[in-house]
Amino acid sequence: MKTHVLSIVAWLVAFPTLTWADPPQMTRAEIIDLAESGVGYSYWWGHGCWREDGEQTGSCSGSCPSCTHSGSYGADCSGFASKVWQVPEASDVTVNQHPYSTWHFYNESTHWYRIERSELQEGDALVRRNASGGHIIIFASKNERGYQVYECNSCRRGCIFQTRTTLGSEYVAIRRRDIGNQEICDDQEDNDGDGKIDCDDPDCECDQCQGEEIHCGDVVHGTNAGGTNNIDMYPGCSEWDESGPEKIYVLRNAGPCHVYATLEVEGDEADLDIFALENTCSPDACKESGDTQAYFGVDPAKVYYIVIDGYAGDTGNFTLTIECND
Amino acid sequence: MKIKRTPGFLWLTFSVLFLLGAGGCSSASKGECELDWDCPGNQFCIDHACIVPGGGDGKDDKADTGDNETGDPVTGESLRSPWGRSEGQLGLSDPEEGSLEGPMSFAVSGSGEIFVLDQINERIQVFLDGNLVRSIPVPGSTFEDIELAPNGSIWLLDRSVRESVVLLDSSGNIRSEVALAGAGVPRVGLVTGTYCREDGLWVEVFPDLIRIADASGGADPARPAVSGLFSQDGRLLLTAKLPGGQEAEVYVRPAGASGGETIFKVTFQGTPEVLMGPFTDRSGRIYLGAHIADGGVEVVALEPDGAVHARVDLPPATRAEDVFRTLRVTADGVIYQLAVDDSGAVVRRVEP
Repeated sequence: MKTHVLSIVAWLVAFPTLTWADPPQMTRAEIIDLAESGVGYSYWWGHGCWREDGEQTGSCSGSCPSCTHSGSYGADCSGFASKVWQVPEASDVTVNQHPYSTWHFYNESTHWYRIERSELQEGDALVRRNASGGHIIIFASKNERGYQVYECNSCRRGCIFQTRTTLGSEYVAIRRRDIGNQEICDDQEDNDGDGKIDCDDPDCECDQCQGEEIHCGDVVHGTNAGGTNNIDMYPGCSEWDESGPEKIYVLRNAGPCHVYATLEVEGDEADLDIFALENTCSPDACKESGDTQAYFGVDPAKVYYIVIDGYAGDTGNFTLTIECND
Repeated sequence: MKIKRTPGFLWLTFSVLFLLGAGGCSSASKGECELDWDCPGNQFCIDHACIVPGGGDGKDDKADTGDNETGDPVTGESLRSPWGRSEGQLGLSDPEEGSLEGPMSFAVSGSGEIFVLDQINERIQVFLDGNLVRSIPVPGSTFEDIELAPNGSIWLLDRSVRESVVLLDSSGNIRSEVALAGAGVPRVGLVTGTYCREDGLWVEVFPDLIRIADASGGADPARPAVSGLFSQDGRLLLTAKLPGGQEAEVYVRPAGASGGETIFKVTFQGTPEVLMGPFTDRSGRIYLGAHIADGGVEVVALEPDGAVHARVDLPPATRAEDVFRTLRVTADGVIYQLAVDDSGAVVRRVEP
C-alpha cells in the first residue's frame, strides 16, 4: 500500500493538472509508418516505446501479466496502438507511455470512434475486450486470405506484422479522430497540401507497373486510350518515340517456357508497339519488342510486364494473344 | 448455423444442407423436406430426406470412423479437447492485453488421425476417433501451421520468431529448417499457408505458391512459383477472388505452361470476408470455404464443371482466438473444421 501511495504522489507531481494536449493531426501513411517502426520489438506488458533505428528490441518471457521483460523498449498491444495513433497527445516513440488499455479503446470515444468493419482503411484499428482482457491491432490492408495487421501480439511473438487469416466477430473496428487529408494519387490534385501532386508526392509510392494480370493462353482485347504516358522510350530495345499512353499486362509464374506475345491493332489506324519488360517496368528492363510480336524466354521466378505503347502518341484498340511453349 | 431447433445432443452442433446440382436448392422436390426445419426431432434434411445424424451406422460420432455403408453423410465431432496442459488437453494463452491464442492449426492424415498443433504446450497431439494416441514435442511455442509430409514427417510454420519452416521426424526431432524470407516471400508475415507435395514444401503468399523446400527438406534455391493452389492431382491451379457482395469467383487453369482459364461464380448465403481454398478432392470436386462477416463458416462444394454439389454451414468460433488454419478438406472430400469455444477446441467433420 505504501508503494502504491508513493506512486500516486509521484504521478501527481509529474502531471499536476492531469490534462493532455490534443492529439496531432495525422495522415494514414504516418500511422502506418509509426506502426512499421515498432515491428521487431518485444512485447512489454504495460508499456509503450521503441526506437526508430530498430535497435535494442528487448525480450519477454513467461505469461503476462506475470511475465519478465528485459531491455528498455517494447510495448503491449494497447501501448503500441496509443503510440502509433499518437493519443492522447504527440509523443516520441522513444518515450515510454501507456495511457490507455484495451478497455479504453473499446469503451471510450474521445479520440476515436467506432466504424463498421467493412469501412476499415489503413491506420484504423480492431479491438476486442471482455471481462478478462482484450487485444487491439492496427489494420493495414485486407485481401482474400485475411487481414494484414500490425500488433504487439504476445510475450512469445512480440510486435509483428502479419496476415491474420481469422478475426473473430468480437473485434470491433475503430477509427482515430483527426486523420488529415491524404494525397490521392490519381486525381491531379494536391490533397495533402504539401505542394506535390499524385505520383510526384512521395506519399504515393506509385507503381507504374500496375497492370492487368495475364496468363498463358489468354486472348485479351484492350486499348491504350485513356491511359497514362509514363514511358517515352525503351533504351534496352529501341529508340522509337513511344510517347503514347501505355497499357500494361502482368505475366507471372509462366515458365519455364517461351512466350509469343502477338499484338493485332484493330483497324490498323493506330501505330501501337509491344514491349516485354523483365521484373520491373523500367524501360531499361526491356527484354524484347516489336511492331506486332515479342518472343522471349521466361524464368518462372520473374515477373514480366507486357506493355502496349503508342508510337508518337498514338492510341487505339488491340487484341493481345499470349502463347506459351516449352 | 442455420437451424431453427436446438438439437438435444452435443454432437448435433451444426447442420449440413446439401443442394444437389446447380439449381438443386430451388428445384421442386417430391421429397419429404427442403430444409432442416422440415424434419421432425433431431433429424436433418439431406438430399430431400430427413436423416438421423451420425451416418446411420449405429456408432456414436466419436467412434465413427467414417464408414458410410448406407450412403448417408457422416457428420459430427471428431474430437473435443478441453483447455489445459495435461495429455489430451490443449493449451490456451489468454493475456490481459494481447492476442488470445489456442491451437493454431491442424492436419488430418490419410488414416484419419488428427494432428492438432498445440503450440502453447509445445507439442502436437494426435487423436484418432476422439482419443489421444500420441504426443509429439515441438521446438517452440510460436508455430502457426502444420503440414504432413508423405513420409510421415511434419512441417511446421513459424512466421513470428523463427521466421522459417521446420521439418520434424515423426518423433519430433528437427530434420531441417528453411528460412521463409527470400524470392517470392517479401515479408514473412504475409505467408498464409503451407502445402506439402511430393516435390517439396510450398508456402502461400496469396495468391502465389512458392516452393521453398525440396522433397528432401532442403532449401530450394530456385524457389519456383505458381499462382494458385494445386489440385489433388497436381494438374490444375485454383485461386479465388472476392469481387464484392456475397459472391466469389473461382479461377481454374491448367498447371502447365499453357491453357485457358475457367471461372466459376459462387454465391454465399452471407458476405464472405476471408476465403479458404479452393481445395479439391481426388474426384475433382472443388471446395471453397469462407469466413462470413457476421460469424460462421460456409463451404460450397462444386462439381468439376462448376455446378453446386453441396453447401455446408459450420458454426462460428465463439471466442476470438487467432487460429491460423480452420479448415481442411481431405483427398476423400471430407471437410474438417477446427473451432474453439469457452470449454476447449473441437474438430468437426462433415462428409458430403
